[in-house]
Amino acid sequence: MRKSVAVIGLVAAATAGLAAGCGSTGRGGAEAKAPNVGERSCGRVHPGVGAKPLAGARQGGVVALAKAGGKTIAYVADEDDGTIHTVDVATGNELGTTQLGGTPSQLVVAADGRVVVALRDKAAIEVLEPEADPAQPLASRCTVPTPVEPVALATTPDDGTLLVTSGWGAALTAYDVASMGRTYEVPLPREPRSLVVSDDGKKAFVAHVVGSRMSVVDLAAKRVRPVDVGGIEEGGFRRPRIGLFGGGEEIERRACQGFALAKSTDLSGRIFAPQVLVDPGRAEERSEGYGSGGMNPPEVAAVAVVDEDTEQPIGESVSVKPDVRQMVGVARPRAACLLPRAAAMDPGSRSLFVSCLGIDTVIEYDAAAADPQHAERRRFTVAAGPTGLAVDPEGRRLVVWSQFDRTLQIAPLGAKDVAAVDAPAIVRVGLSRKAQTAATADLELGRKLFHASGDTRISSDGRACASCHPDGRDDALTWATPEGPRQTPMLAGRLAKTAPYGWTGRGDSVEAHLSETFGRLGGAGLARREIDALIAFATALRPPQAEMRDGTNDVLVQRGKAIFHSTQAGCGTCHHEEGAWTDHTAHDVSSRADADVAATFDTPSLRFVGGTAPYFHDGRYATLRSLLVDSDGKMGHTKHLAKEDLDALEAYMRSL
Amino acid sequence: MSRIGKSAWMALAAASLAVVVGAPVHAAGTPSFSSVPEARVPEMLHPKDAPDTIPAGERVEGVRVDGTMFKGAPTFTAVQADGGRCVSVGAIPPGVPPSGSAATSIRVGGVLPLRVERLVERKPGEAELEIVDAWFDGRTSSVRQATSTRVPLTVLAKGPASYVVYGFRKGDELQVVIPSQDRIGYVDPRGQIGFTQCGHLRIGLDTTAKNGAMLMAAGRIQTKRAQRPAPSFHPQSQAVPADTTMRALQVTVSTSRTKREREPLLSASVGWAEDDEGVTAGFRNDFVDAPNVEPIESE
Repeated sequence: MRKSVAVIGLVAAATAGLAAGCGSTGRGGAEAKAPNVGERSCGRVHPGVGAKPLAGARQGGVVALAKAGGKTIAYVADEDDGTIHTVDVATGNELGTTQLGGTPSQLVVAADGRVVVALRDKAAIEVLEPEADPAQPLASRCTVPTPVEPVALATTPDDGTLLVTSGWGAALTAYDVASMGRTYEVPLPREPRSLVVSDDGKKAFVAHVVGSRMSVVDLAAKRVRPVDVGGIEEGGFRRPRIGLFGGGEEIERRACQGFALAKSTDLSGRIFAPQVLVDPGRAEERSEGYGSGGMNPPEVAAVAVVDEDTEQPIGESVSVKPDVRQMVGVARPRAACLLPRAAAMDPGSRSLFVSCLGIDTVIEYDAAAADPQHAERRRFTVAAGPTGLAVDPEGRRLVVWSQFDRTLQIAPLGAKDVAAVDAPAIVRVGLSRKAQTAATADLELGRKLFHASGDTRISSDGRACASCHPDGRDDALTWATPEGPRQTPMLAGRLAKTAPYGWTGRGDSVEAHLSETFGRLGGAGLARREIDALIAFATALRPPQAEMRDGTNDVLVQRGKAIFHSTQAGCGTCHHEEGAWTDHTAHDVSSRADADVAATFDTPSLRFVGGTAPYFHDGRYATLRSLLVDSDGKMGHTKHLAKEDLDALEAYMRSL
Repeated sequence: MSRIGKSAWMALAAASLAVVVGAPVHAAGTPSFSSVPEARVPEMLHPKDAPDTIPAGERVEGVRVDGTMFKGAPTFTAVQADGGRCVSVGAIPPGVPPSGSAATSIRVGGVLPLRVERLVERKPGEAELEIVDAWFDGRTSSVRQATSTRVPLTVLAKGPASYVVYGFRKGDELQVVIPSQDRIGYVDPRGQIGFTQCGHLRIGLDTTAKNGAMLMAAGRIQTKRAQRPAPSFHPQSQAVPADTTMRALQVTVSTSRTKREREPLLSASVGWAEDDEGVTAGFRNDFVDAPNVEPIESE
């Protein structure tokens, strides 16, 4: 029993707080009520007792700091074990643990000291109350339902409202902090993650893993405005365009990996969004690997600086620039932060800290720079899987949680002016954990390999598996490949029973497809055990909320199911329910694009199809509805369907 | 030195670089934009004011004119600046650093305006820019000084090894002055790359630019080794023990402004761009064609 809990926890963590996808669909938050959710009072039983939040700390994180008497304590959300660790930041001593009712993604300390935890796998937030002694476990007060997969939390400046973003549920939900009653919900585009609230409390800024966007939510009007955080590379060179006398070209880069956000009242009006700017290449051209190739790296690290008032990024911060160090012969490039996962500001030194998976590094940037990415102050290595960061401005400390190695690190921030500070002397604390098994050891290795960026065994340009498959899902991008355009498929929950793999179905096994992928990425390859571990991890990636369904539209779904399997529509002809929604066969559905070398494509599984736009091998359909309508006659028939029928069909497909 | 030799050295240098971890960058006390003193830099002389000719034999300190360098094209004259000076002749095109370069060539014609700049660093943190405006006559290979201006500089950022980046304000522009001991590579605010080999690089940042403005530069400076050199497979590097190294440094200066900020936010930082296993000074000087570097004064 314990073994299975540990394995599930690890995989849930991998699909949760770690790596999700760059897309375009927007939909409201599907909600599922887990057992014991929403049945108890959420208020404090012992008001005034226990730890309180640090002054001004209102953004949730994997690590949240609080003051307990004279001590600064860190609450650490441990995704693998489903616990909160309470740690004395001054000594590094683990004071206690609190078992949660699910897998935590983020937590935040409310103004009255209650700890609110987003339970990613339970579609709920759990509210806990601290005891007088911080060593005692937090007392659970209630759980409150949320849209599917709550991933990030923040409270408004008046401490009256709790905001929750839900990843798969694609929504921002507001709760009254006192009662934890839901007050409103705003649908968001795909894969929202971290959020921060504007100084005046009127707007929430939400990062997105995919879609090259940030969302600005007007909290009064309940409206969403998109902010394009994609970038421009001037003077870039793609392989096909290099000529003897040819100049560079302007390359539009798409933003991905928007997991983290940070802001500071010290640099008022600036919101920092660590991300990656991607050049997937032109869909109408073939390439040698994934992306355009040539002199342009497919992915470059960036930190978008968004003006809180104009809701636009400062142009310099999303402008891709040459590496000036190489101009003076510094041949070895710095490992790029291609998997940023957490960010925190130190107002004292105007420093922005970003934790980077894959290279297991925390990078300190000058947050006052127009482009912080090119104003790096220092970097230091941390244990594997840094998913959480918090700054203790009073104690001048940085707290880093590395989930993969289950290690908490406490680093001195140094002088406020940062001058003459070398790599800090880091205190490393291995926190307690549940019993491990051989199975979890393999999954742990697989998880590290999946996120290994800058590893030449995986790719020659720094990309990791999680670069295109964040959280094991998809990046919503269509990449130029030697065979034509290829939209990234979701992995989590889609590998089992869906062979063959790859859009043309050439990979008989995951391993065979993996081998081809490594080849296209220019990776040297892994050892046998590592390949096994990576495959074990990839196939065990837990899909979003697989066990929970939205039961509010059952009638519509049932109607859609009938249409799906009807002879007239013909969807079920190829998408067999018993075959994981595929017939494992390639078909020509008149979808060959100019750059395609073949006209037939393997029937993709429809598992989780509702959250993986765009669609088709070349990403030609931006939404599920456009796929259903525009592919009529080429792949099933929908022309005869009324709007209500299409609604039903779409609802059914979203339930798969 | 042969091309092959230089390439081999470059490869060896690249191979010898160690991982850059924890290289601190210094951003102590970056001033606010409004606190940076305004300085007056005179416009370059206007050609309409030029004398008809300058007799042979007139000279300006630190400027050498060689009319015989281009034997195949006698219509060109080479102008070189010595002692870390930078020179510009004629109008400076947009996008070209106003500080000029170590050398330039000019088509022989009428009398042209010439400017010589020199960064005079009395000690790290105390510096001024010496600007000499003159007339240049390529026909007689002569230069006549017209005016001399000294522009006080303020510290924008202090870096390791007593390296300092200076600047001054010129209207809405932040003029950035970056000292150079060797070649400096830079990416200017338009995203264009360039190099300079004279004693400093001066570039202006337009603080009114909507998207912000950023200058990045990198160059090597001579510094003492912090640790023993790593073992090298190259016999010649072992034969030249050195306790100094040419270590790459990166400078980043930017201005940007959000809607609520009352003035442009200035950021300036200087830090090592590689670790201590850079290129040893002795090894480098033995094998590479490059101007000798002048060590900066230490406090």
